[in-house]
Order: sequence, then structure tokens, then C-alpha cells
Amino acid sequence: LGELGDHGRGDNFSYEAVMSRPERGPGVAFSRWRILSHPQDLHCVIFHILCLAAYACAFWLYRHPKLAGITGPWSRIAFVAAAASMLGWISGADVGVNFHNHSHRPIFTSHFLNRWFGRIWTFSGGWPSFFWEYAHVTIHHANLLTTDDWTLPKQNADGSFEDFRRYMFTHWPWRVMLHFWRNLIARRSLRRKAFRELAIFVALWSIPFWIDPVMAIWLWVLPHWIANALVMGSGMYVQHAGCVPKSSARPVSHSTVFVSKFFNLTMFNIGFHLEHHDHPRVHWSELPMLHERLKRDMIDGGAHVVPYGLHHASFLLAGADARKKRFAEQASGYTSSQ
Amino acid sequence: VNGTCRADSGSQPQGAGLSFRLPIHRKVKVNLKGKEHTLGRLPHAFLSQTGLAFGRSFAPLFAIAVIAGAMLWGPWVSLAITAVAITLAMRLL
Repeated sequence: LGELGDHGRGDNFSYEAVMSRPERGPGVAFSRWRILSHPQDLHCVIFHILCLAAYACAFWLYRHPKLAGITGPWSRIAFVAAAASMLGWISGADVGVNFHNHSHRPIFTSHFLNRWFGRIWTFSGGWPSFFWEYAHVTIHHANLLTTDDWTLPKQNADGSFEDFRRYMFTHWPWRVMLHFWRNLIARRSLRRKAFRELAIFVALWSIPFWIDPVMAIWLWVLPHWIANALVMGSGMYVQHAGCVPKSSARPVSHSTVFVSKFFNLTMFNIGFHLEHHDHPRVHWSELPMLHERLKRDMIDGGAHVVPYGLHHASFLLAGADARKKRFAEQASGYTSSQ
Repeated sequence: VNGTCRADSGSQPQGAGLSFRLPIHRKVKVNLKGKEHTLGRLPHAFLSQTGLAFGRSFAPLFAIAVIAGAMLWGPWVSLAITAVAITLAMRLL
């Protein structure tokens, strides 16, 4: 429990597709010296380092206002609004998509590197890595769309999700903290590990406060709220809105598939969400291939496929009924009549 | 092809109705050393991998450009770019 990539065997168990096999032959002798588990994982590392560089850049300019053309309170507000929005957006992707991949398939061959890179991966998104991994793998993946899955929006009596805005503004950090208290802190078996990870997180997360507490609120706490409440919150909502728990009658209706090529290129193929939930150990770079392999079954099973990404889906579901109906429309080429 | 070509003097001309022979009309043997295929594909593979790296790092690179760009164009333009980017993302992505 709580180990990276350990998926256990929940109710949503399904046989994993084998998309690539470990190398064999003479080259395998060098594999023990390989740092990354998969060559494409280098892009995950680059993404995270660039995110940290973006924070460093924003902090530096905040501390050197003349360089950024900040001449008074209004221009400072403009800078903070732009920087916090951008930092929130990339932090949401860095944790919700990028670290997410690592939690299913650790990117390094070394356990030590996986643990420590994970810790410095999620602190810039407002999370201890162990807590995020626990919420996602142990709670969300193992209990998808059941009452035990507290990571998703609460469900109304008819099975529909609660209001989009209510979920975004109440879930992180309020509900999340409450559930972690019950699941990790109050449980004796996990308490010690949870406290240790929390202490490491607090030590790392407090760094910007040592530099400048006011700056930390605007360029650290605010981006983390944007990342969690707006970016990750909306992502979680739209990926499973209108879906039903997996069953033999409806095996491919537990998640929506987002097939926008640009979105999937820039978001580590997170749009192939149905495939990901059914085969969480398949490497993120191989999800498009898996999608093509499962396409016929998805069409026959009536899977919900949309031609855009999570951002536009959030825009549709946050709107009035007319906009919500557009989300229910199916992407061309994915209807059973075609 | 980056291999070396050698004219085979004993072969027949390829062009029909030609009354004279030039070395180019003779059948040639290509001496391939195994590197030629790789050399041809290298730029494509390099560009493809570079494109993927930039594409996957698009979000943080864009964020750095907007934040650091404030040094060039000031905070108000950065804010305007952010507003346009968020609007476009909500509409298209």
C-alpha cells in the first residue's frame, strides 16, 4: 500500500494490455545502468524541471520589480495575475498528469530516485507525493465511481455529479484534508509514514515563505489553489461526468475519451482516459496505440468519445444546460453506425 | 544514397534506342555499407524527437515565455496574453 505503481486488485480489475516488452538480447546487459524506466520518461523530467524554472523566474522578477516593469500596486497585480494563472495551469498538469504517470509507472529504475524525485515533484503542486499517490491509485482507481471514491464529485440521487463549481470550490483542500485525516492520520498502520511524508512536504513547501512570505502567498499558494481547485478539479470532474461504474453490461462507460491531438501531445496522452483506467500500467506514450487497438470495442460498447480536450469539456460542463448538452455529443468516427 | 557507385562495363545500356553509351546508362552496382539507411532517417528521427520534446513541454515553456516576457513587454501585456491563452484553451482544447 502506498508504493508507487502498486495497483493492488480492486473491483475495477481488468487484464493489462502488453504494449511493449522489456528489451532482450545483448542490450539487456546495459539495462542495469539505465536511469529511466522508459526513454520517453525523459520528457516528464524535462516538464517538471521547466515548471520549477517557471516558479524561479516568477519569484526572481517579483523580487526585482523594475526589471519586469512593475512600477506600482496595479502593475504588480497584473504581474501576479498573469504569473499565478500560468503557474497554476502548469502545476495542475505537472501533478495531475505528469506525476500521475509516475504514480502508475515509476519513471526511474532506482527506488531511491523514484521516492525523492516524487517528493520534489508534487511539492510544487501543493501535495505530498505519498498522499497524492494514495488518493489516486488506492482510492480513485480501485473504487472508480463507487461511494468509496471520495476523489470524485459527490453523486446526486440519480447518479449525476454535484454542481461543477461546488465540487471545485469545496474539494481541495477542505474535503481532501478531511478524508486524509480519516484514511491516513487516524489509521495506525499508515500514521507514521503519513506524518513522515507530511513533514518532508512541509519542509519543502515552506521554502518560498522563507524567501518572502507575501510573495509566497501570491506566487506559491495562489497557483497551488488554481492548480488543484480549477485545473485538477475540473479535470477530475469532466473525465467521469455522466459515466457509470464498470460492469459487464457497460464495460466502457466509466470514463470519457478526449481525442484532441494537440491536447494529448501537450498533456501526456491523458485524454485516453478510458484506456488508462482499464490498463493503468500501460505507459502513457503507448496510450494512442492502445486506443487504436481498442477503438472497435469502444465504438461497439458505446464509449463516450469527444473531439476536444479537458479544458473545453470544463467550459461546456461549467455552463448552462445548452452547453452541457454539447458535451454529450459524440466525436465523428466513434458512433456505432459509422 | 550515400554509398559509392561502380559502373559495370559488361552490362547493357538501359535506354532504348540509344546509339551511344555513357557511364550513366550502364547498370550500376551499389556498395552499401549499412550506414546509409540510418543517415537518411537521422534528420527525420531527430526532428520528430525534438518536436515531441517541445510539444510535451509546451505548457511550461509558454508559461516561462509569458512570465519572463514581462521584462520585454511589461506585466500588462503578459496579463493580456494569459487571458487570450486561457480563453483559447477553454474554447479549443
